Amino acid sequence: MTRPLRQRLVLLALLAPGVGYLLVFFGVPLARVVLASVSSADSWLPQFGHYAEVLTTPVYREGLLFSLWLALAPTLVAVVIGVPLAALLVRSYPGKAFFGALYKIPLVVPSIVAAFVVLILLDRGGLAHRWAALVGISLPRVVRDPAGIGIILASAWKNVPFMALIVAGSMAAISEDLHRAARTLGAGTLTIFVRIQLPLALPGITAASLLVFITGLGAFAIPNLLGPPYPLPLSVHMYDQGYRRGNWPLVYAMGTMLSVAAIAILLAYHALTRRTQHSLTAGRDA
Amino acid sequence: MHISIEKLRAEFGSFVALHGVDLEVRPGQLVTLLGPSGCGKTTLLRSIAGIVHPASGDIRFDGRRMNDVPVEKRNIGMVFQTYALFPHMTIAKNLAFGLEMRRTPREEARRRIAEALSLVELEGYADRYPRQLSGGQQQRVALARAIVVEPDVLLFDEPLSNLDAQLRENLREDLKALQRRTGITSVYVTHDQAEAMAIADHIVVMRKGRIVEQGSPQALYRKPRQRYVAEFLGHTNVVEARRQSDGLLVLPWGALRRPAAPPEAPSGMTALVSIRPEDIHVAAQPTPGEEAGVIEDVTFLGASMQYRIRICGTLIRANVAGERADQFAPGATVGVMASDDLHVLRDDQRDVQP
Repeated sequence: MTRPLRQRLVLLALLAPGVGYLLVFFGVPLARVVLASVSSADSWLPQFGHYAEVLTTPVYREGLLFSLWLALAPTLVAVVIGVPLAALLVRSYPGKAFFGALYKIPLVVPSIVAAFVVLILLDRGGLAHRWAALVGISLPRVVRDPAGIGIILASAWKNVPFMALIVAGSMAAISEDLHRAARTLGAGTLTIFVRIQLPLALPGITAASLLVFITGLGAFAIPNLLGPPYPLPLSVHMYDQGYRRGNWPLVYAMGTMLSVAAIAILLAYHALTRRTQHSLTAGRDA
Repeated sequence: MHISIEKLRAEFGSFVALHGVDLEVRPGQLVTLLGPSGCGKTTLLRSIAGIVHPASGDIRFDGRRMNDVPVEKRNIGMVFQTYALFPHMTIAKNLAFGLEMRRTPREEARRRIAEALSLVELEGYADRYPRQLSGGQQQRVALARAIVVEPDVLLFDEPLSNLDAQLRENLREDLKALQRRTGITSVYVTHDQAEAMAIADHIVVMRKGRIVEQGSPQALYRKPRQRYVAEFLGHTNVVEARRQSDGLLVLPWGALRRPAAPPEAPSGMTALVSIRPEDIHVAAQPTPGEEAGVIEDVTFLGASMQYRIRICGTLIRANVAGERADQFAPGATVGVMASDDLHVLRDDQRDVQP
């Protein structure tokens, strides 16, 4: 390849705004975080002591697991509720426009407000507990509980409409004739959902799950407000270690670990979708 | 399966798609619903399928009222213009879908899938995905998927409209042969009159939500009652002829001809006559006493030559086949000869409400 220098310069100039933006505002800070997490004053060689600290100290190790749990559980709830909801949303029914606007409300409510909604409703002494007490039922503790139920509820409340919105888009793209064909062959609504809509909307479902998962991984406001004193997710530890104790290298190590988890999920997603796409396009004639 | 439709009316909001249609489809028949877009043919087909719910009227299969039977319980097979194959399933899985819904035993299902695939000549394709197949192959899979469940009724929604001309003709013949062999009562929607004539036992011509005329392809082509049908099926020349007191008709260029049946119009009045281009003979000289015409335009159609002849203010199309087809050039003066047994049309206005 002996491309004239001029042509190469033109190519670089054209790429500069896009690639340059990514390098300066995304690549540089990320690289600094990673570098800061492995650097020390004593040696110029990379030191992995902060990573070892996170993995061997029970408080941090359980914090990492708790972070993963707080990302995974709301994702599962959002899939289980959001996907069937999406299937209902693409059908035509009376009042569709009204419900179509109603279900999106949680999308525009900030997470901190969602957290306060859960607090007011479900904390001990909250509305639900008082009403349940009237009929003699004692509700279990769901706010500041070790399993993070309150966090999961608030997060799912935000993410169910998000999941439904994206998956409904995928489902709306499925041809009406496919539904008709399935029905003439003898399939009812449930069979069509499981055998036609679900597999064909899978790219939308995995993409939305991925976004919900990664949001949950780094969430701070909801777990800080509704979370238990122990364990604390890494995001809360990061705040604490950074602002209260000035232990920045440890903060960077934790941040890098969360990023690596997110990137690993992203790569798994690509591998998965490439395989399903492959089955749809394999050997297709030009 | 005998399909019987009575006073079927369908509405979409304020638009009336079907104005009380009556239709009988006899067991084993292939009936084509033919008409331009918006004539109600697809709505009628979808009403039979159960996809569209009629406002009033009855649909019966062998006397049993089907109006409230859901699509999935009607035991029909349907073939769509878009093929509508399930893209995430192999060909074999597409065919297995309907059999699984009917809880067909696994071994029997496997045998029937193989049979259906060989019927459409796609034996080696069971493990391919729909997108790996050409349009024509996909539509044959769709056909196999519809018949593998042994439906009582087969419904076709413009199945060949997405295919190119050559393939369309081949597949049309395959489809007709398959329908004859299986003997499944079929309703076929198309806007293509040539396709309708080639495939149907019985053609139903529709317009603006009503049935205009129906009959065998031959009867509708040769003896349509209405101008609309005469002009929709193939090409024709519709000319005004004056009726004499002796019952003969006078064509615009002075020719005297006998009608096949006495026209309804009283003597002295005009009647509309349909003469097919292939029934017109072009002569070098007009018959004595008749006016001559001038050739305006010549079109080579392959099997024949089409002449457009201006005669007494009207434009006549004549198709000439055989050795003498190339005889005339534009500008030539010719005589136009029509045979006896002229086909007289009924006045459209009395039959078709707007």
